[in-house]
Amino acid sequence: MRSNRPRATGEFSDSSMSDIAFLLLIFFLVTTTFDVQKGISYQLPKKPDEQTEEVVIDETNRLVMTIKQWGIGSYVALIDQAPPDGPLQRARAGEDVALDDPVLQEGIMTLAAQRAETVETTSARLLNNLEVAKGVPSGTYSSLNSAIQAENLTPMVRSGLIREIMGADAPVTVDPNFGEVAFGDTLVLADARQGNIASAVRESELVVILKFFPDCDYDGMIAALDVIRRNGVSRTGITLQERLGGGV
Amino acid sequence: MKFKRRMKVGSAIGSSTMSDIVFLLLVFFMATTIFKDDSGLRIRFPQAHPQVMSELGKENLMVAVWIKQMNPGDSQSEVIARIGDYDLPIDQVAVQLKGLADKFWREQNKHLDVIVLNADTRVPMSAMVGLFADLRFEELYSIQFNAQPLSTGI
Repeated sequence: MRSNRPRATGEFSDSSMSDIAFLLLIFFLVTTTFDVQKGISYQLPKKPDEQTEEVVIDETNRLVMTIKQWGIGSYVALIDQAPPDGPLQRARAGEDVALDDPVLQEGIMTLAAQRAETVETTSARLLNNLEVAKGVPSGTYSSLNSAIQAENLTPMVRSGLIREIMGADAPVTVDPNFGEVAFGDTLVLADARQGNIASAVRESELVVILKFFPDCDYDGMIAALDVIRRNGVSRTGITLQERLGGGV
Repeated sequence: MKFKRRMKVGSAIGSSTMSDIVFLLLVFFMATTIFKDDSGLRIRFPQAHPQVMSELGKENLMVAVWIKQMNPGDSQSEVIARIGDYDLPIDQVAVQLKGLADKFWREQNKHLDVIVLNADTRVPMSAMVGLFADLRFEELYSIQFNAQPLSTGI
């Protein structure tokens, strides 16, 4: 008599194995991140020669600070010279303040905001950046407005760190192309095909000269640059505090 | 009369080799992928606020320079730099970079855009300002100071 019981086979289904392998592959593809180094960008001043005259920064736009190390990872600033009739005057009498002092930071931001360049100046730089990005000779477009019309561009404003800190208190200027532009904002031109083509930040005309004691460490320079960039200053000079019988 | 049943043709495709292929690919790429070693010096990076930092675009031609003092804290100790696999004193960095920039221009018709400085936090500013003066003299103006992002808020 034949029995109808199913026979046990010696196979197992391995079709899901490829699913598992692909799943692992995709998981690692998505989650693997490569370390990207970020940093503070800095532009050294142009080398003086016969053709270029030495640039003299007006006293009203100049803040000079000496940075001194005060133990490991701690730095103090001495205000050597501040623009007249503005904040940070009190600190002129050789008083040193910690770099992270809120009064110092607020003072720098106020000075920077008072000296914010006009939107026209930023627009002129934006027009220049657009010409460079398009690879056309300088002066191709008569104005930013005509460039926007000719290239069918969308003007946009990307809000900056200052607006984030000051919120509604941030002083704004209304521009016919961009609308409300605060100090520290970035003006962007975009088109439908390539997206953002050119941008320019509305900077401050304030120049901060940082004079470091020769034995102050590099960490102090980054800390000082960090403080002044966060408060809207992009134009900086770095030098050494001159000492009798030496110095650079 | 009993007819013989005709043999049926199965419609399944054997997929058991698929996993072998995928694993083989996985193992192949795992074995052959080489991560470019930075071959830098062991340094402590300074920290900065993420919003003041920028990232360099891939199209930028850059050269990384590593800077460290041999004995941090000792003011007499020599400050050394490393470009690629070569160690050199810090006062020769600018001349070497100028040579590299000229070579890029001659051979590839490309400008050296940025000099990326990976400097140790304890390097004295006297050495750094000296380096900036040398770079200016060689007309290399664009620098990026690499830093690690601070995790705290504004």
